[in-house]
Amino acid sequence: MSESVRAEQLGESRAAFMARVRQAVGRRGQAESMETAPEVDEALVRLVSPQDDVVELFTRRATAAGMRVYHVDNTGVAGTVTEIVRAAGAGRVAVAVDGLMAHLREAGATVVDRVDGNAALWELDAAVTGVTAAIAETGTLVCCSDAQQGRLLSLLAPVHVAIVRSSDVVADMLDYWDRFGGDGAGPVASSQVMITGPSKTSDIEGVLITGVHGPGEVHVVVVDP
Amino acid sequence: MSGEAEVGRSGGGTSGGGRILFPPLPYRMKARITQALGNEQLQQFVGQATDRKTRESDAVLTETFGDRLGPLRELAGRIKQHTLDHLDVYLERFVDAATAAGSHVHFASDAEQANAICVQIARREGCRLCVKSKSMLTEEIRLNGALAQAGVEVVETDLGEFIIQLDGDAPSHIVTPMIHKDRRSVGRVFERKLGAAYSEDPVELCQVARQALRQRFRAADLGVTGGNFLVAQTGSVVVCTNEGNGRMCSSVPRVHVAMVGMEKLVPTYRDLTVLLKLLARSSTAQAMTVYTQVLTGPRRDGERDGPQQMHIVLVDNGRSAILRSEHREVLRCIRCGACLNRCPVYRKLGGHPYGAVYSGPIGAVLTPMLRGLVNYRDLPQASSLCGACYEGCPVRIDLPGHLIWLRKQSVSQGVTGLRERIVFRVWAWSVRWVSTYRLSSWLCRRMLRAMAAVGGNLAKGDRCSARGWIGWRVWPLSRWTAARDLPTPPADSFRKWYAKYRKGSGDE
Repeated sequence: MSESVRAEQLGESRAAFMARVRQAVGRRGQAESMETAPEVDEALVRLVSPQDDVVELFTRRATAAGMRVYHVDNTGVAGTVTEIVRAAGAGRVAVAVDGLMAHLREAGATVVDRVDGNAALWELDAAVTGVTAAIAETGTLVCCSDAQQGRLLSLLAPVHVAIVRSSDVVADMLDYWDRFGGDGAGPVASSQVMITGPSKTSDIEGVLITGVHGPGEVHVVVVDP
Repeated sequence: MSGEAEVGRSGGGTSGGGRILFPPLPYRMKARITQALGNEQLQQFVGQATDRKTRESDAVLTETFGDRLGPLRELAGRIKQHTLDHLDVYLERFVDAATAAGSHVHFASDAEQANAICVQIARREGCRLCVKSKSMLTEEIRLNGALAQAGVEVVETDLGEFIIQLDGDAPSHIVTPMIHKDRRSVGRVFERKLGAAYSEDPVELCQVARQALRQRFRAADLGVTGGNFLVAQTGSVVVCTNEGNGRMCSSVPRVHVAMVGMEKLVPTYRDLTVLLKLLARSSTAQAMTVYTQVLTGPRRDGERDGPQQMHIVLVDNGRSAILRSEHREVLRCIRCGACLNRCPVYRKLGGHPYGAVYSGPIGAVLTPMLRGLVNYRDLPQASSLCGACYEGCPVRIDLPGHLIWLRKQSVSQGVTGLRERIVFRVWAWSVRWVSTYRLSSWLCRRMLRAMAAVGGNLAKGDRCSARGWIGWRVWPLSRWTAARDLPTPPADSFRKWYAKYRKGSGDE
């Protein structure tokens, strides 16, 4: 299908749609003198200050959301990740973080190479990814799609191991947008996923069950340099 | 919509699921209310589930925000209101930003056009299998039926919606669609439709669904989602889910279509933050939904996965009429379900008696506005106007106020029933003049006291408690007295008693 056909717009024309909306809001002429949007007052909206112990708070909130949190220094990352993967009985592992492959292979795991496309991801037992940031207020991980990990890596395996540098833990969601939300400073990733806990459902009689489509286990390794 | 997939397969008429949310019009609630009130299991299920959600949600909101809760809701409401007041500007901004990010934006004036757009995309790209995450808008426009008729198989992937689709049932809650079903019905439908061994263990049932759906996700070439928010500044679609199916639908298939109501806009990420802080806490008592995806265009160069195309269909379908009216604020709704969980009427009935996609207090307001008051005249009456919905609303929509307005409209448009018109005509006459007022209240007192006397429960004395209760069990008063005690009125009117009291100064 050629690009020109794809770009063809279906349905009503933008002009007709917009004319109806303009008429509905009662706009005559141009919208230069538009009132400014309500101010997002930090004193009201911000729940956590950057001055707080954000790593400690993140640990508590992430744990409350059902994730397991580990604290290591630079030298402890490989050992802890290997231990998690082994304890989960994970044979096939994909890794999007440098410097871990050799350790995992040594520990007997099959490290899945992604050069052959995404099919192998469906058979994974565990996936190890980095994160763009973590938000202390809600115990949330933010994974952005990029060349290394894309959208699927943190989704398809039943066990997700996320490596978080303590300097990437922000206090409040407001801080995440300030640091990573573009705001004119460059395009945001095509997919920013905020992850708060393992995949959950309580559709059947309100019983909480984890791992329905996404990972049932999320392990967070916080690295303090 | 559950029934529709089967419509496409069989080429036949509307199945059970379709009729529940799209009954013949004009719709009358009474038959389904009677049915719901006779179903004790349903009442227990819905009652317990909504009660628990309300308590948990209130606790989390109070613990998190304390005194700030009121002002924060106020701010959230103002942000949405401001966006609606300038929707033309923010829509233009959104479309430009989304296009710049590589998404294709389409515009639909009504349901038919919205469905046609999605069908055309599927046809053009040769898509045969569609995985879908939960979306109220696609229920509203009945997208599944349209896709099925075009030969595209549609699989609902939210666990609750999946079960409802398999069972030919219809969702009954904005957030927890199968709130009215129990584990045994899930076990039975999985046995029947998936060939799984019968089980009543929710964990096992989930595994059955996971296995069945993973095959579908892998094979799908079209993913359809809704959108909880649209961010004008960046052209992003925000999708909030708990299970991960929304991520599957927007990451695995080569084409992703987001079908979104045009009122879902917020100006910036900072505004989005205010609403995200309230949404999950008001809805399911979570700080955040497990997955909050902010999607800004299809896969970029160098990215490993993600859809090759992202389409965003902006849908009007009656929204511009609400935008034009004095009830614009109804469009602030972020579909959290807090008003359903708090509503004493919804708690008793569940969602199906509302006869439409949106149930509960927001449904009672939105449905007549979208589909005609004359078609849904009972809905604004299905409320005690207690205000619990307003109290729980994170964006401060004055739902009782809108219900009262709709009731006024019912009268002025003449869509009320004959019996109601007669009763109120008589009542108006009785209070219009002092003489008719005295006469009617005298008549009422005499009749009620006579009923109490016949019921054998008229005690002597003049204090309320000592007067006894009306034991009359004959229709129509029995509609009240069967379940509640009605005190016997005193022999004399208050005016007479008061005159006597003044004269005797203090003699009770």
